[in-house]
Amino acid sequence: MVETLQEPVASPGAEPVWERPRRLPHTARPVARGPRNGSLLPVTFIGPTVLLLLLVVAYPIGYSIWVSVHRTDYLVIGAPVGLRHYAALLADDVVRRDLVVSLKYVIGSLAGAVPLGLLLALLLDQRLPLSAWFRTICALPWVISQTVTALLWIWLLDPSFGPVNHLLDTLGAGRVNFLASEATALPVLVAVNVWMSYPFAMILFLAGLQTIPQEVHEAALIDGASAWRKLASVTLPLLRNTVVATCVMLTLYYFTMVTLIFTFTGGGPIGSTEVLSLRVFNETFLYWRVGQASALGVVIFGLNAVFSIVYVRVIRSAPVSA
Amino acid sequence: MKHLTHVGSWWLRGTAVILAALAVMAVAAPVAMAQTVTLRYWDFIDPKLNNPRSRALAEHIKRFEAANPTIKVTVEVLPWHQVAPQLIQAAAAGRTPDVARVLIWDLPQLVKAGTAASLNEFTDRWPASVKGDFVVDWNATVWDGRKMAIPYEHRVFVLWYRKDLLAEAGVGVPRTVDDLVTAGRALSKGATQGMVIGLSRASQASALAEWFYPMLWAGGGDLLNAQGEPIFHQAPGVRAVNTLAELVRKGAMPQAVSAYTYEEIFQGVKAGTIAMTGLGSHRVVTAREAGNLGDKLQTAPFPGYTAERPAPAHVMGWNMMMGKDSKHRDAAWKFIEHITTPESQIMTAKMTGEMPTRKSAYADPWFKTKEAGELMFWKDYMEKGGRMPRYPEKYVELSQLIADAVQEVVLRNVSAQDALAKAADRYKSLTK
Repeated sequence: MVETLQEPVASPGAEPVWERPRRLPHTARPVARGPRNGSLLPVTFIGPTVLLLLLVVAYPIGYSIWVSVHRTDYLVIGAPVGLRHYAALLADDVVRRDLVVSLKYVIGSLAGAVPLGLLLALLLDQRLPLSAWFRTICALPWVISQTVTALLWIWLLDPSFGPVNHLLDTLGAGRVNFLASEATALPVLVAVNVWMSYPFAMILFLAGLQTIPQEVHEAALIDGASAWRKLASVTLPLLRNTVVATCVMLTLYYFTMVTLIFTFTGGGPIGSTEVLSLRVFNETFLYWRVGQASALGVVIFGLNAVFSIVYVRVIRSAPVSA
Repeated sequence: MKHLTHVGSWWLRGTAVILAALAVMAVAAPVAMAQTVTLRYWDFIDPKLNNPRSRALAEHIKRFEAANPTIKVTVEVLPWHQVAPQLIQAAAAGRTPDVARVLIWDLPQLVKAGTAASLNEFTDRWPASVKGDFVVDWNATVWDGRKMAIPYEHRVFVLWYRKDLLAEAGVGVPRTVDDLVTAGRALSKGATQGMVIGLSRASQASALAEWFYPMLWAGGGDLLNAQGEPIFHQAPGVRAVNTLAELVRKGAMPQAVSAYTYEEIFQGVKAGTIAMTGLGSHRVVTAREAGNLGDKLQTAPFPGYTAERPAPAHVMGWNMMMGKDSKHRDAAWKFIEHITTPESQIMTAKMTGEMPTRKSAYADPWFKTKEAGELMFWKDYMEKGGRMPRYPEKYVELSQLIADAVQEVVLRNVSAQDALAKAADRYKSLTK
């Protein structure tokens, strides 16, 4: 890096005329400069992280892809079979059904968790009494494990002795078999997932709201913006990147979720809540078709990659303006 | 100086004694430890809990360790439906336990996956009289001439019913399917569910299996033929599924059963919200104790299509298997042998109500007492036409396909013939 100086050139007594800058003598050295001798110091610092990433991310993905093109007999990897497992997946109507269920599950959960998380974040961002206490209460569903969440809601929704049905009965609506009906099982599963995961969105949005400078809000107020106008034209545009990042993370989370669904419905009734990730689990640990399960896992990985790319392109599209 | 010398000599003697003791321990301890064997034993029963089966297991281990002071047993507890999958993974990692308790219907898969060690080197020493002492055929746990497991307990699937609720409703114990519909409707009031058969595919669809197979056999049918091809979709299977659908349509059974697993039904019985169900004989004692039901909870043979012939008993049970990676085969065999002797079986029966697998155990005077009356009734039911199917390797998947088919009939009104035929086709495609 070379610093330059501008030196006025003028006749004595005349106004200085600024000319093109000229280079400094070689004696001037820049402040910061990388080592010239090819030191391994940077590699030493980032090496362990790269190694860890290779070990826990790249290797499992690579191994899954490798297994997905081989015949398997329980956990023994056999001869290569090319894309046979992928062809079997494409021809399997159960897999197609599970893909549709997965998309409904993910999109439905996002449509619930993101707006709810945003609404609560906006409310909790206000300077209200006991807001810290409310923040803690609102975040509680996130700290409960998926297994406990599933068991809790199974009890709450039980048609014989669950409080939800007791309330419905009291109100004259009659009892509903939420988990025994194809029409209600998936919506209820989505609702339970939204209940469990909205705190994650809420916390991220709350953090995003805190980064918006107060001056921007004040400027909007001075300009006479209403609360709704401020939200729509100031807050939400500035929160856009946080919203997209939250959607990316939740999409990846929902697509790979197994425990909640396994415990809550087991994929039933009649496969109406069986998502692709649960299918991978069953194919691997119940039916021991490890090759096919790996192929399905690679498909899920591909879907997640596509969603992530789409989200990133949305972030990089039209610039934010308040 | 003399005093100091005297004290000094005591110090020297004391130090010498301590050093000598340490030297002895340093030599003896490794020798002693080398002689003590610790067996890893996988079970779904936790011996530390306070219920009949936990207490029985704790007693078995205590007696075994007392009789074999150099062998210790460490129990690793897993959920029952996770024992088989975990065993397969452990085998792939070369880390199977020394002994594991496995379900008879998981055994074919475990044998095929190479998780179990052959017991021939031990059982070949047994005389024919011992091999013939088992209630079920010796070859039920033999594959390619290799004895792969020893039966630990048997159970039959029976009709559980609340004697008090039936009396209140003025109905007798159902002996036919029609009786079941009548009684189920009469008992379905308020929070009480008259009759419950779980149709969920979760937990290996075990709740449905307990009822479906007896009804299949009652109609003269079976799951698979001798070549392993599905035949459950033929007339007897269709009849069995239609019977179950009728229970729902006529209000004897709630549609909510589509989501019920074995465990949920058991909890419902304990809670007093289920009046009748079909579950295994092995948990009756536990249900009475945990639910404070006492003799209000009774059992009877599964109703058949006619009063004279109840549905055949579905016999199954847990078995003791040696892991293929066991480094203490002799010690592991001693444990398996100990826990399956007639004496141990008698103790198990007294404490838990689980049926012995050894014929000679039933000769014990206890089985002639009033206390053993119910167990002997189950034994009688088992002997009169009880069946233990030869489960296929893909049994879990088959069960789930059948559960899905039954759910289609109950929830979507699909014909039983179409639903079962679809399940049979799918099973064929998975096993070709």
